[in-house]
Amino acid sequence: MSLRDKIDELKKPFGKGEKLEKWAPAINALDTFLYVPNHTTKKGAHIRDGVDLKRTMITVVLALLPALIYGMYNTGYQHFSQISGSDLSFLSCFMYGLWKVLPMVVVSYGVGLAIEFAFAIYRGHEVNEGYLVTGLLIPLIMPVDIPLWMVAISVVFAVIIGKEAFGGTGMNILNPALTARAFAFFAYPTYMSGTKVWVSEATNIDAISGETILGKLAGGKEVAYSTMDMFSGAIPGSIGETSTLWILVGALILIITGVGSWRIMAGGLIGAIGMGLIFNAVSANDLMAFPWYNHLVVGGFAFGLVFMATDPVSAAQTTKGKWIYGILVGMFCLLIRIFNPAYPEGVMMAILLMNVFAPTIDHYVIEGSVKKRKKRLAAKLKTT
Amino acid sequence: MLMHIPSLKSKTKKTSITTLEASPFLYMPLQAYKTPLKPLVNVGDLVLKNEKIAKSNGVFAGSLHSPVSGKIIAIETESEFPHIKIENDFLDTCIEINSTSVEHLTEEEILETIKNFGIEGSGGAKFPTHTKYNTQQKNISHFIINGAECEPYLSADYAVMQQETEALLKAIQLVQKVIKAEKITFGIEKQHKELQSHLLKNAKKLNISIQIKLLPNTYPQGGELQLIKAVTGKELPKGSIPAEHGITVSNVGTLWAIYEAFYNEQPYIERIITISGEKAINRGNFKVAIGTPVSHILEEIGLPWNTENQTVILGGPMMGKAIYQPETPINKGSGGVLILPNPTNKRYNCIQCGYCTDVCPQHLMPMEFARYNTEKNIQKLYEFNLNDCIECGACAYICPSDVPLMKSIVEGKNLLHNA
Repeated sequence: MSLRDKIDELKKPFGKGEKLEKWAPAINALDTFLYVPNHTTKKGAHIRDGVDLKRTMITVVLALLPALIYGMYNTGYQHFSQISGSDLSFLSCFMYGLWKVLPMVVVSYGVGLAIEFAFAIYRGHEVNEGYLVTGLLIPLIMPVDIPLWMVAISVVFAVIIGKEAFGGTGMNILNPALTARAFAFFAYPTYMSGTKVWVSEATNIDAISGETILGKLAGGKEVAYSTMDMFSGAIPGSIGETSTLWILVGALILIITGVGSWRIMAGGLIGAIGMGLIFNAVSANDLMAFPWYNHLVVGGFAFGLVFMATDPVSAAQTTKGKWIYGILVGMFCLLIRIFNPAYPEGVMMAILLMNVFAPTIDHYVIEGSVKKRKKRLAAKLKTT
Repeated sequence: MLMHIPSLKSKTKKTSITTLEASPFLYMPLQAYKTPLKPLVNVGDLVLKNEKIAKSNGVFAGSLHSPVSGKIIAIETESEFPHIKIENDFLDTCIEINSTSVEHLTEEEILETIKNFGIEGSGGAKFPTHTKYNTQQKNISHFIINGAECEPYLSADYAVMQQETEALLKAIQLVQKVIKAEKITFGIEKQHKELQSHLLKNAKKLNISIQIKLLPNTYPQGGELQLIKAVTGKELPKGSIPAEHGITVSNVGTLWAIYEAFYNEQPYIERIITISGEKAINRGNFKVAIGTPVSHILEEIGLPWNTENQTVILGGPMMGKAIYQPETPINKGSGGVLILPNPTNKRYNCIQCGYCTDVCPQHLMPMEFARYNTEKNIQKLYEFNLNDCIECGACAYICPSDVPLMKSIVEGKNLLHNA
């Protein structure tokens, strides 16, 4: 008996008129997760591209894996190098990180998918694969020692208030993963910032340099890491955010497959570099003097720009709009970092802010095109 | 950005053109470009092969000829699908057509014959060819031959270019007498680059100077404005007529029909189509009579007519229509009959990914059409230039959420039309 037959057997009690009919979306979700639907349609184009929403989402999950794996390793590395100082081999660091991070991923997926299933059944929808991405993003942007129940509550908030309240997949205004982080940031500030949360089990030890680089800068302390450290990611920080190198690998996957908008990423880089150069030129304080290229490799900038700002649902959708949106994300990220040291993680705020403005950007881009066209038509009418 | 889609032509590309057995009944469609055709015959009349059975007047005048000899058994002008039904007597008695030899025809005579023989654009739009070539007022600098058959599966145009090369080139020579273009360019896709030397060799033999332009394998490369952009590098403004810019574009299928008209004295009564698709047996390129019902074509290749466990499509997979009436006939613009497996739709919410905007060759925003069609917002549909849509289906093909974009485009266009 093949897997296909087994699933068909399993689906029987969920069929039309059977007693478990209203739970059908749940079992159908499992089915489409395993099998690709046959790509032909009755209306319009009779053949379809092989990439459907599910494939798109799975591509993003794949793009996140390098950052996730490095994040697990770095969790162990930071712990061992700063606290116990014993075994620094890749495997032992990775195993320690796996032990710490996996429960967060499980909680995030478990809670989030349970809510998604509940809403799908309530609304009679199919379950969308969108949460596969959100559910992995949430643990990656949290500090490693955050209690699991806090992760769970953040997920509940993000999925219900951030997503389902607006109508579910495709309807949300804010990026759900960032909504979760923002919620955790304001609800549990002691667990989300400070000197000790970024290295696993650092609370037991007094003298520790467990702050993020941006935290240090804001506190007016020396930064002991080189740009190369920041780029490779062997620094304290949120689980998936530290290694710009592995995030770039993910970015490459997103750009090559066309899943993530390169325009938003490029725009973000331009915005951040431009703003960084301006601040470097002014150089009124230590924060402003922090070299522009370092801004690109510290904190959540790279991660946010590659995986969060490119979220198609909450980003701008017009081509020109994407450029504007990206550039503004980059600029606001640096503005917030430098003028508001209380929120060292400027990128989160910058993206959430631009999420709110994305529809406005699109509106004006479209209005602009309509006007231009009207003008051209009027000019044409005059000549003829 | 134009997108690449799998070509799926390999199964039929190299097959030689075979003539399909004539159907016992023919359903001649009474619809030409923008105008209905008026029948010239009555029920019970006997008609001969090549006899004119319907026509319309005006700038877009069209005419229809009987592809067989036989008896008119029904004329439906009021139904949803107006047609003349002919019972084939399988005698193929031809009507006498007097013609002067091709060399001595004047421009007017050539245009008149094209008009009288009911020649229309075979690429799908069915634009009357005599109207297109009637360009006395304008100087045509560039004659582009559309060999870009961008719809997957279809290989009928390829078969004409490869197997009917001489006919094609002679037709070009003839058309050239009328439009007098300074330059002739053949646009073919890179996937068919073996045609390049073949066409050039034959053109040299006939002493015609043509250029070949290899085009990227993108969809929709064969759209008139997209082809012009790819060949000349100029993107004509939306809604403009190529002749205003000194360009005439003709499909290879149309040119083949012109050759038949002038060298074999045969009106547009048959065309070359591709029969293909996953569920088809006996795939290939076939010569079929206009008016042949799709059910007959299926029977001829050994498939029973049914729409339950297969989807039958008239035309290409991107722009063609799914057929549910067995009598639906081949018309002058159908490039093929495809038999595909039934669709299983998985509809997701729109995630505003913007792929549809990326692939739209007309730079439109298809997702807005879906939204404003649901809202029945005619003003917005107009502002987003729905009328510029060429219905190529690229957006529906790429949409990862399977939003019914084509459906909303067609419905939205109706809304605009009736407003």
